[in-house]
Amino acid sequence: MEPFSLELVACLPGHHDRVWSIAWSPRGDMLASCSADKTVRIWTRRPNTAAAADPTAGAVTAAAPIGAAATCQQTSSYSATDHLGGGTGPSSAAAPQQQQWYCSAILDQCHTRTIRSVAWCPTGRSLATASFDATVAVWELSGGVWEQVAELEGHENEVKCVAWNPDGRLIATCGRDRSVWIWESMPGREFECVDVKQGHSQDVKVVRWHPGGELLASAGYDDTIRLWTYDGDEWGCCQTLGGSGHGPGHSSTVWEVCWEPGAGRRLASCSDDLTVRIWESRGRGAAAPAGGCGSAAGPAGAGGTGAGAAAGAGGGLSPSRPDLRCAAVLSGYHCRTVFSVDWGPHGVIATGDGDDSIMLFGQGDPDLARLLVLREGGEAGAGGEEEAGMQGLQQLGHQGGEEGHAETRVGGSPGGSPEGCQGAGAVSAQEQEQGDASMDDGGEAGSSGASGGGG
Amino acid sequence: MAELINPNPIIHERRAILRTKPLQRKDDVDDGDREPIDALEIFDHIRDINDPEHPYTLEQLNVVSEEQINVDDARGRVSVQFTPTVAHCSMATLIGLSLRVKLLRCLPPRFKIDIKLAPGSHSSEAAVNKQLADKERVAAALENPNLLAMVNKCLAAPAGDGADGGEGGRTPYQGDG
Repeated sequence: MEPFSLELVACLPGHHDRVWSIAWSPRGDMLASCSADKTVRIWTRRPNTAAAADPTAGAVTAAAPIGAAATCQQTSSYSATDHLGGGTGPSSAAAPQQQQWYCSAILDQCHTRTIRSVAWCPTGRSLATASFDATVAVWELSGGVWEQVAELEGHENEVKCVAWNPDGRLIATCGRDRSVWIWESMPGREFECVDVKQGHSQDVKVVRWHPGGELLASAGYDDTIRLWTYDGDEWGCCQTLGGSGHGPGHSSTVWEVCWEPGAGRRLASCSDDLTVRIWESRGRGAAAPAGGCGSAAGPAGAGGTGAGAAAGAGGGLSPSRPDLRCAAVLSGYHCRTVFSVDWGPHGVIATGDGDDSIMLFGQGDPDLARLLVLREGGEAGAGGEEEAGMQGLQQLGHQGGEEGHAETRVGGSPGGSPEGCQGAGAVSAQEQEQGDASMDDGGEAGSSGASGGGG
Repeated sequence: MAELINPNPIIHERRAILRTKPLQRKDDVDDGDREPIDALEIFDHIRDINDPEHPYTLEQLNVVSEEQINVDDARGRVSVQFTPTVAHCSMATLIGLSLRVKLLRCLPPRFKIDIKLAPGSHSSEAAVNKQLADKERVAAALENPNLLAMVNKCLAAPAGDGADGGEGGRTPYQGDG
């Protein structure tokens, strides 16, 4: 029943404390990881000469990781192995090759507290970091050297996520102060805040731009997902998913959301309520769905929304009226908080949870899903997906718990290359030996958890 | 100085608990002599945590007890329920945080730790439980030097007051006879 498995291909030690987040570069050639040790590490892969020389190596065994996971002390890469072995020769059954990664840069001496999130600019060699020190830093690589080029101040306390929009012109940030900030990149490496959005009633954990760029999703501790759009003048909230008065949604903190790559008609979200939800736009072009929320627990699918002709029509989602409805709920798979979800370019959804597990989900028939993943050239195969219809999401693969990987987190690269998914994990416990040494940075306003009640 | 939340707490004695059952030994070669961690061992870690307000331990105030601890050593799960002395206690989150930090420091990293209020013991039970379960909020809170100092104060050994003496004294971590 599980046609895929994940194989560990590399372990990357280096960070001295919990690794919170990782991100693939737009070209997929570098991995950035950020940590409670207040640094970012950039990892680069040594070229694997053996694979390059072997012309029969297929997509699965090309030295391209499909995932990565990080723990307190190391980062690891995974690649997917196809167990169904379609008989296309040695490539289908060969074990993934071990990878050689090295740390090519350490970005430090900038943030004074945990760096929580890192994001690559889609258009160039720069990245942004979000920190508990309430600032966001922008870094650029030039002449082989990373330097900090900007600092964005404004959040009142811990910044929890940073995201570049697809054309690299805007940055969104969010944090414990319950706000979402939108910054614009100006000439001369300056960034100007263009809007600050209130609306969430608790801290905001994630911001993610729609692939089309004009729509921003945010989610967090208030159990809701909010969608923000630009009306030509300012940003406004165009839809709220979940929470009282906004229809069915998550019943606990939403940790991450991810748009479906390509047309972005769907959004995946994962939560402390142990479920993953798939939201689908009923907007322009899509056929009316058969019902409200379908559930997929185990192999049974539900709620066929049917194909829409819109799949290839260049965007089935109207940013000003996204009109998302919950199309499926994946429950019964995770037994602890689902911290991370990512939607890969071939229709595979990967999740990481607090039970040390990475899971892969796909739509429809496992054989069809296998074809989608193995198809070369990176086309998302939107037509194929729509023909299969929403038959339900099935668990494709499961990487079980490993000692030392307390939690896993998955992120994805925006490109259509096979390096679709990455994972990062963080160990919750073992770095706390130094816990009684108080931090030597300046006092931050307020504390996050000391007051009882609230919320 | 602000008025104490609970100016007249009920004080309990510190129990002397001797292990009467022999320590189990695993047959597994690679586990060596490691005996499984059980509720008593967890209790030993947390019983002497100081209450933030009163000069007593959590055991003496019946905030924690062995019965409210659940351990599954094989799966690496620990669950602790604690009962604040009054239902509106504003120190509940701080106590919960101290419990979590103590166990994080004492247990092998493979353990998942769940800290919760005993059901019905607090007026904001769900909200407090949610904060304590959120690893990001906990991590950020512990980077706050003031809060960390308060936690460390709870975890500090008392200055030789009441912990030793006729009741059996402090049970060392490595277990006793």
